[in-house]
Amino acid sequence: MSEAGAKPRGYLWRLGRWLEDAVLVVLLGAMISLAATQIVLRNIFDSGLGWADELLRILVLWVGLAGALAASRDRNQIRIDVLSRFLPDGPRLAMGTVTDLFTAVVCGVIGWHAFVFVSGSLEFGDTLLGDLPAWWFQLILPGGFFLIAWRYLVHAIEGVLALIKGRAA
Amino acid sequence: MMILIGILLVLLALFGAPLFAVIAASALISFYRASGDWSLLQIVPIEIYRIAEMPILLAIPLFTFAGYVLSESQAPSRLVRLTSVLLGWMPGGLAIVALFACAFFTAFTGASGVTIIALGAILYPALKEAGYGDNFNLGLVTSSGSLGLLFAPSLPLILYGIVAEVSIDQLFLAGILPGFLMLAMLSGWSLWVNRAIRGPKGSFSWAQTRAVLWESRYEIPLPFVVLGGIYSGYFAVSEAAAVTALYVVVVEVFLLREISLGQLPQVMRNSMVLVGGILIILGVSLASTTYMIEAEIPAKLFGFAQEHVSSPLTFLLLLNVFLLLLGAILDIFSALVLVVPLILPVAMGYGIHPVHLGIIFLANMQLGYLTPPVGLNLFISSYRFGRPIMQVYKATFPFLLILLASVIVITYWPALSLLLLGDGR
Repeated sequence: MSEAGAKPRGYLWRLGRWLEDAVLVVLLGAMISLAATQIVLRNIFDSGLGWADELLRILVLWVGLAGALAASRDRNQIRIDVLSRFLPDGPRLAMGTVTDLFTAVVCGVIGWHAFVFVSGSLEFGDTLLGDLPAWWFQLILPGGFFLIAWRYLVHAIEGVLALIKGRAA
Repeated sequence: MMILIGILLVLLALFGAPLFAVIAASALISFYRASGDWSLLQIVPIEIYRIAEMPILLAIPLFTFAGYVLSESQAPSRLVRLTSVLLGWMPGGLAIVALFACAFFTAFTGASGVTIIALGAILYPALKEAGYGDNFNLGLVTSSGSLGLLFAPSLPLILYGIVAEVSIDQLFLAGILPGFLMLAMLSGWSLWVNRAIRGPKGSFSWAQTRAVLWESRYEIPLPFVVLGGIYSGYFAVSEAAAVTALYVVVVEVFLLREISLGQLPQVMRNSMVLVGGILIILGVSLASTTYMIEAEIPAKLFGFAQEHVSSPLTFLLLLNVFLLLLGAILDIFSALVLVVPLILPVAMGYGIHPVHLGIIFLANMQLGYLTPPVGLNLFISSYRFGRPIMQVYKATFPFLLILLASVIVITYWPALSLLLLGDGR
């Protein structure tokens, strides 16, 4: 998909990739174990962890945004994309850069508002799961969207560089 | 001005901007234009945060992961062997094997194209060897890739239940008869086309049956655990998903060892990339839906529809046409989260049962996978089997017509969907 996908990458980039996969694996693993424990407790011991259902719902949000972030790594988001396959290479690259930039801006705006939302939650001292600060769990919203914005910004910059190189060649 | 922005957003989408970004942009712009207040845009992340307030969503990552594990293991080839022994002795048996195996598999993997890749790779050469024509095989395998969408616990059924706020247990029941109707019609047609191929490839043998049953001993209980658990009231849908996920990991990784512990993180990651793609679209659609409801767009749509369409029958006809077009350009998940909130109130105004609407919606969307020019299955199949896309169009066309006929029956015969619900309709 991505023209830049095959490029050799640095150590830092590989570390980031590894970290992202590790986060997904830990989140999903926690989700499966917690949900299974809850079923066993409910059906066999007729009890349950009071905080587990709430934590599971938060885990879904985290897994969703972390998964979306992983998808944006390879520009692998769900999209329609019927027209660009008819374009020649140059214009297709240019259109790709435009859509990447658009995505980066949209995610940046959401990230900013999410940041304001989370700072509000911090200020009011909202709590979740009993008395834990809610902002710990909400941090994925600004964090996730800023990182996705960053990814698409990098994709866009790579696109511009490739365009300049293409013109020079 | 708004029209211009709309056109611009559609163009961006058509040129490959991620759908979630397009939907989010339209929500941000609409809220801004309605209020003129930049700081009120906070509503968009707050709406996305509602993902953490829907307990049923837990089923999506868990079932998706279970489907990915199954398709990475040897379960697809076991499933084909099992169905061939059980059904392969009939004339035209292998074609019917393909249909049933694919439907079953898709119900668990959620029609993301995995079926064509995992099962098609086994079935396509097998059909050829049994003497079926190339175009028939290609069409069969391509259209089977989304068959089974109506069977529990398919992801689109669950997502419809979430978006439409309809009981998912009821949707699971409602999908059974329409799903079998599609299977029966395609089977009938396959038998008719291949009536010249006399003499089944295999014959029925007890020894073989015992062998394949033993081989699939871990997978056979799965549908019974999932559906039995849900309908006996033992599990909620999301609990059934958790049991399924844990069960397939225990079976495929620890008992059968077909997926190594080292491979598992990659399977987990790949499945969560799909889940992330779906959930982020769901999140931003929650925001755009909230805007549309505040702007009373569903009510306006209904008013508009009532002025021009008087009978429910005409409405259903228009709905079919609309959904077919929609399915040809949008993937099923985006179509569900974007369009269902808009048409559900309108359809209910015409007296259409929300569960029936769900079945109509998904049945139409299933056709969308096969509709040229952009049906997803057509591309996957062309790519996977190395056939030109035009040949895939042509090969799939008869199957598309049969499925279209079944969709018409499903649409105009509500009892087929609602019979098993037993709520007196």
